Amino acid sequence: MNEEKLIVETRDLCKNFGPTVALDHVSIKIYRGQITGLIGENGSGKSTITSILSGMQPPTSGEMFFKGKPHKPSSMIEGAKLGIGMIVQEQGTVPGISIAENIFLGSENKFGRVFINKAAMVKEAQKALDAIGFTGVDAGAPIESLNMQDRKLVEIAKTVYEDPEVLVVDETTTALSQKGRDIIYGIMRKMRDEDKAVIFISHDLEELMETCDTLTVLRDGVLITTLSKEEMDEDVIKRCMVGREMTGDYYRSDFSQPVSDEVVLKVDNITSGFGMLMNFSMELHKGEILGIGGLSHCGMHELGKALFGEMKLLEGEVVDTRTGDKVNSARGALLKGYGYVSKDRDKEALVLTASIADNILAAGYDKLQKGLFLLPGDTKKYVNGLVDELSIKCASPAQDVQYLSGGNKQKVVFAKWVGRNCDILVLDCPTRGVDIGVKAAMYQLIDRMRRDGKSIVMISEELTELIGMCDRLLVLKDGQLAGEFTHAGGMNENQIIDVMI
Amino acid sequence: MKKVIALLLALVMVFALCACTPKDPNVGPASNPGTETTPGGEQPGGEENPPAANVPLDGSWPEETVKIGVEAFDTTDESFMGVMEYFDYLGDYFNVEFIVSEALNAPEDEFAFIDNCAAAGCKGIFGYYNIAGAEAIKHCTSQGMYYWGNEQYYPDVADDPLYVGTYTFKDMSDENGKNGDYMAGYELGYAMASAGLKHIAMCNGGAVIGVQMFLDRQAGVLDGIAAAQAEGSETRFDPATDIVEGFPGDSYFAKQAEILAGDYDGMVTTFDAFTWFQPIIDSGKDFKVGAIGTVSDSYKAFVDNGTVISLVYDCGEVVFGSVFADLVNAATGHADLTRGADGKALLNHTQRWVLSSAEDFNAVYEKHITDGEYYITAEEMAQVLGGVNPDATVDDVMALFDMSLEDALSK
Amino acid sequence: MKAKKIGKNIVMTLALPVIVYLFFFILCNATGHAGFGVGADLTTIIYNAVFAGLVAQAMAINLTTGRFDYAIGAELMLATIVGGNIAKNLGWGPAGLLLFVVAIAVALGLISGLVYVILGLPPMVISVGMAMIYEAIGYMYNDAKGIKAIGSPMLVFSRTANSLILTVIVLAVLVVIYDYTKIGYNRRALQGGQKIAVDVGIKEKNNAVYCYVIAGFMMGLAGCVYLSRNGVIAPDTGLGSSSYFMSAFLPMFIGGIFGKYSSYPIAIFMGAVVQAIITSGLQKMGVPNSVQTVINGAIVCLFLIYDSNSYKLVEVQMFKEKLAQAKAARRQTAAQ
Repeated sequence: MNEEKLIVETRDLCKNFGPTVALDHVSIKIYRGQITGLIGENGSGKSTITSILSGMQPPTSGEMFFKGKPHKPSSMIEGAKLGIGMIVQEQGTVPGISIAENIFLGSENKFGRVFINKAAMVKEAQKALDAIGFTGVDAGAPIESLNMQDRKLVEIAKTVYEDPEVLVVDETTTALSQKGRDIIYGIMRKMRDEDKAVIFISHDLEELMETCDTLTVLRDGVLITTLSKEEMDEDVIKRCMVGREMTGDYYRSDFSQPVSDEVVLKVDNITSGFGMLMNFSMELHKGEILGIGGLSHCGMHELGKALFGEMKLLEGEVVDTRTGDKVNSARGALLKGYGYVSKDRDKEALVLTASIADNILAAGYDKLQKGLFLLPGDTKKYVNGLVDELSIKCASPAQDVQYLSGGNKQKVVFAKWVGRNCDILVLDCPTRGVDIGVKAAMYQLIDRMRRDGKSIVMISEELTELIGMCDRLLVLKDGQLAGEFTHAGGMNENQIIDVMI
Repeated sequence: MKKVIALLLALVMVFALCACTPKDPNVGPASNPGTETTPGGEQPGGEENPPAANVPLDGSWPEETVKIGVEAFDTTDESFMGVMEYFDYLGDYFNVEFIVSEALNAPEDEFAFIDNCAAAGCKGIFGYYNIAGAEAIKHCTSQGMYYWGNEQYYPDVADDPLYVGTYTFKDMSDENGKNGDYMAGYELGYAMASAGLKHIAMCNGGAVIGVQMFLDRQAGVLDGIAAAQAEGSETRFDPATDIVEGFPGDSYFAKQAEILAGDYDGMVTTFDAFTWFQPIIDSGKDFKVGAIGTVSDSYKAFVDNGTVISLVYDCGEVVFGSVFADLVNAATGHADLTRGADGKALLNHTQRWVLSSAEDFNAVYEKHITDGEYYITAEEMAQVLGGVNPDATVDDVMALFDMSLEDALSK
Repeated sequence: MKAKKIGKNIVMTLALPVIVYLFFFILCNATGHAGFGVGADLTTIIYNAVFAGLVAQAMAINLTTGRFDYAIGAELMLATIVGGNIAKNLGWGPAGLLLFVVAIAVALGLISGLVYVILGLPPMVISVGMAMIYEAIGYMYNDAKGIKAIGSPMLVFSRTANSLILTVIVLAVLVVIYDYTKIGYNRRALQGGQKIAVDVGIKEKNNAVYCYVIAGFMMGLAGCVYLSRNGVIAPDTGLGSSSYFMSAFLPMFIGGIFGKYSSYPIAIFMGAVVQAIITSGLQKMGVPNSVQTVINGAIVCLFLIYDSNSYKLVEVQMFKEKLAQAKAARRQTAAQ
């Protein structure tokens, strides 16, 4: 590689959080005119590198060089001034102010030191939006006029407006619509073509292989390898990430067994109050994994909520055919043996500031209750059993959930329902933001539940996992059923995509 | 383990608290007396105290400081401050100290204040204000402190040896005599309705929220007006439309504006009238005010210019002088001087002054404010204290504070 | 399009006061209480609106960023007592009153703000403490006599014309501060997303101090108006000074709801007007004081209920459209 193009270099970068080693002597080089991908399981240290680079936190030891000079930013603000722009997953926009004000948050001085020239700000913001190809919005409008995915684009516009020389995109794409993804891919390519550097962090292998010029794999804080475009191969990358051969049974293997005819749940022509879902009917069989796929706004997440009695239905009903009762409240669903894993894990599935034990117990009180009391011995046994069974990595079940990694958080959510021994599980994006190792474990768990006769509805935006796991797949488009696929009839990715779009 | 320790600690604390609670209500700083206080009888304290004829009035007597707690509802109220100034003045002559509460708005505040006084070693409580009624008095005496004040609860507590008296404006020969607040309202209402005004309004203060003092005053005002009307006064007053309720606030000011804009030419208030003066000036009207208030700078200009034509005035030393005499007598071993002929606590008959001319007002103003003097001097006070004057009698005490405006002005 | 939007904004801004005014006007006339809302009534309405409006501005600037400032009542009391007495003794007239009271109120606001920023304790705790300190100073100053300036020529700020001029100037300044300066801009950013705003370099502490200073300024003006109207202010103890800001809540809530049509400060002032009309109207009809308190409380509750449920109205409409859409889709499928 042409060393003149070197823009960022780290030498023996280390970062410890107490006894945990997040980065272990990582030396990496980032070049201009390239999109450098970073991949690794959760906790492998990829976000730690970029957060140190941007000034969010200092390294424990090691050196950094930016444009040949030692680089020690004391804050993100300083990092941004030097020319390192970051688009991160969680940051977000500020509600209550306009789009333009969000774009120039913290840099209002451009438009006056005391008095702000509002018109000029809106005009400039409009330019910033146009520059990333996000058109058709009024920069003076309140940020609330945009949906969550479009608000992400406002953040991107803000970062790009500052014209960074190094752009870090950290797992942003999962929060974006297809339109947003296209915009961000476009920005990355454009920056590369302008001879700037891009660092792209993602869980999505396919996306990385398609976009990146080189791909660096990290594992447990150690740089494993850097692959050039030609060397990128899915199996190789996975092997590097996990540090072992992935077993063949990544997904389930036995699709030969016929699914029982017994219908456990029936959805009769429902139209939801929110989202796209309308005129939708389906049946769920005992011992079946039913996949629900589609683009992110096709109404499938609303369907998940509807199955658990959590969605306002304007028409139609969800019926538990075993009892003949309607499912119209979460409490009712829970008592009938339903479980629900929400897509929005941190907000809807967990109490982040509560302990692992309390989170797991939350769905199990009625099972453990003896008269008016919960006996400490019972709860301890219950929680510890589940922590062991799902191998949740934690110091103790008393630890707060918020400090767990994404994969472990998801395991806690699963533990809630596994503990209740649910008969019907609705899983909305069960492997979202989860690293490969945990993913495999999840798939095995789901398959085991199926074999135990449980019925599972698996809603996912990842086609491969749907194809790999489901007996039957329903594809939604604009809120309505667009197609049905079975393994027997063949599940072809191209066919499915045709139906989706 | 930790839980067990915490439980044990909690138990220890509970026991400690129980142990601290006094079992005997008479155990307290002022250990008076089971001694039966026989009316006008011999002086049980006579031997304990030094022969009193040569007691110097330089703040060195009594030897041990007599601390007295004062329950107040508004420490910035001018009438109240007038009383406290008088006590300050007495403080130069006697070793007596007053501890004033914050503005009390709830029974629990009142109980807490009484407890604090007990802890601070107070000998007695002066109930200038009282929320919890006879309960507060019992709470005080059960901790061994004397209590003075609140005529309306007198029947409940008059036999309590630690309850030492209160004032009354009642004519004692009249069985159905009304209390002081009623009389203040009555005299004010009567005076205003007899002043030749066409249409008057009234501010009823705390009556709207059921404060007894204001209910009594309001009843008095209404009866006073009615009495004047019966005697031929043509002053109009309709309780349905002419009452400004409550204390200054949004709706109070709204009603005030309506009255100043209407055909009214005067008003009576059962508390001070300051919030009216500026609006009256702004309205440019000839508007008369009658109030229950005090002789102070705030009223002077408006008495002089004829706005305030009637002021019911509780002269601090006359109305509340007996507080000092009764509590100090009780605290220095002369509790007998606080008992009437029937063995009950003293009802000190006193007089409320109605200042209905600028001349009367200014006479009092000059005495109090210009000259800084009082109608009852420290020397006169000393004469009714058993510890200073062994010859003092209950009748002396009663006579000193029963002073009319005429008596005062001719002094 | 733009003209239409401006028109709508003006209508929405003025609608509530006008409706409430007409409501009481008709109600008063129908019940035989003529003369509502004119003459003395109007003067009172304007005074109450101006006073409550100023206090509500002071309260809102901090409360909307999560800082409940309990000390503003005590700031008003202390600044007016001290500043008023200085102006009275120097004989500087209305200008002196305004100058000293506002300057002292601003200084007290600054002290509150600095104490908050330096100690970093919860605002409620700090401000209760500051309120007690200010009250104690007010009580010690001038032998607890407060200020009595009845009849003084400096008391001009409650006259209708003057108080309206004052209001217009204050609103203009506030609108500029809120919508066109870095202070207002940063305040809104901090209000919406404290952490994000701080991460991009907005100085939360500086902004908090500015807000406290502006709140002090407003309370100083409110003090001048209050003193002009009543001529006296007595010191309070035991947090009694909180009574000065008790009328600020309804205007603030109304301001929060209608702010999007004009500007937050203007909407707050409209809220104060609404409150003053309601007070005056109830008074006119001879509603007893205690019932008025109940009604006022109920109105605050109603506004809060509306505020936190107004989205449901939108939802109902949304559901209707959705259902129609679903039916249309069904017809279409059936037709095929």
